[in-house]
Amino acid sequence: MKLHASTAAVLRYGVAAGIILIMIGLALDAYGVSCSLRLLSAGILVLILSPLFGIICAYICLMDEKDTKWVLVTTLLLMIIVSGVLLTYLGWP
Amino acid sequence: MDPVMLLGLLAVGVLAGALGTLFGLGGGIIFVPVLTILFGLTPSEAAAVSLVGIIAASVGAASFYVEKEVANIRLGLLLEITTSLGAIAGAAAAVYLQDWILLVVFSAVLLYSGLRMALNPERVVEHCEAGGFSIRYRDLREDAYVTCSVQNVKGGLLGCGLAGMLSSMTGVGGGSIKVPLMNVYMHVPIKTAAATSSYMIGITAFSGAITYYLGGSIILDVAGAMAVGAFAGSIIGTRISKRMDASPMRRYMSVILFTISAIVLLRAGGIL
Repeated sequence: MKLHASTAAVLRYGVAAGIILIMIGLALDAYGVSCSLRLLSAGILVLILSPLFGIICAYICLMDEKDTKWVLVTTLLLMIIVSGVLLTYLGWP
Repeated sequence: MDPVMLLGLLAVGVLAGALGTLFGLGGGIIFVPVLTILFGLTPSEAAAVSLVGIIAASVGAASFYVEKEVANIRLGLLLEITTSLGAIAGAAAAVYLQDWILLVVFSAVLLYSGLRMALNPERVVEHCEAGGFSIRYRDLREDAYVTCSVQNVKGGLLGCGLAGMLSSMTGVGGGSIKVPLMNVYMHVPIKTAAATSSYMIGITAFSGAITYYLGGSIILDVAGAMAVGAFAGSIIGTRISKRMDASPMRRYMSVILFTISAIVLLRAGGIL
C-alpha cells in the first residue's frame, strides 16, 4: 500500500462522507424534518474522526512498508493523542 | 436556520477555508472573531464550531496535498508528536498564566516570523546534512519530484511543542507559528510547509473537537454550515496554491503574519 495515496483516499472519503451527511441534514433541517439533527450530528462525527482515520491508515501503510522507525513515531503519536483526549474528557487540567 | 444566517456562515466558511488552506493556517483566526462578533456566539461555542470548520478545511486540503505528495506525512506525524504534547501541557499551564502576557508573546513571535519571511530568501537544502532527514515532495508547477533535507529537526520539534502550547493556551491556531518554523528554520519549501501544516492542523483540531462533541457542546446546524463552507473554501485554496509561485506566497504569508500579530495584540489589549 502506498502511504500518501492510501492516506489521501481515506481522508477524502472521510471528509466527503461527513460533508454529504451534513448537507442532507441541513437540507432536511430547512424543511423541519425531525431526524435532521441526528444526520447533522453523524456527519459532524464522521468529519471530526477523519483525521484520526488518516493516521490509522498511515500507521497500517508504514507497518506494511516495515518502516520500523516511523511505525514507532506513529505509535507514540497515537498514544499521545488518545491520552490527551482521555485527560481532557476526565476534566484535565 | 434563518437563510441569511446560513448564507453568511457558508460565506465565512469559504473565505476562512480558502485562506487557511492556502497558507496552512487552519482559519480559526477568522472563524472565532466572526462567530462571536457577527453571529453572537459565546467564546466557547465559537471555539467548538470553529474546530469543526478547521477540520473540514484542513482535511479537505490535506486529501489533495497528500495525494499530490506536496504535504509530507512523515514530517507531519513527527512534528505532531510535540505539537500534541505541547497542547496538553498548555491546557494546564494556561491556568497559571495571565492571558494577555501569552497573547503579547504570541504576537511578538508572529511579528518576528513575518519579518524573517519577508527579509530572508528561502533556502532549501538539497543534500542531507548531519542530523537532518530527507523528504521527497512534488513541485506541482514544474510537475517534478524534488528531494530536500529537513534541517534542525530537534529544534523544530521543540518549536512545535511551544507552538502547540501557545495555541492551546491562547486559542489562536499554531499554524501561524509552524509554517514559518518549518520554512525559515527547518528549510522546508514554503508550499510543502503550508501543506504539511494543513495536514497537521486536522490532527490537532481532532483532539479538541472530539472533546466538545462528546460533551454535546457543538451547535450542530451552525457547525454544519460552517463545515460545508470551509470544505468548499479548501478546494478553492488548494487550486490557487497549485498555480502560485513560492516567492510571492512567502510575501503574502508575511503580510498575513503581521495582520494576525496585530489582531492578537488587539485581543491582548481587550479590544477584540
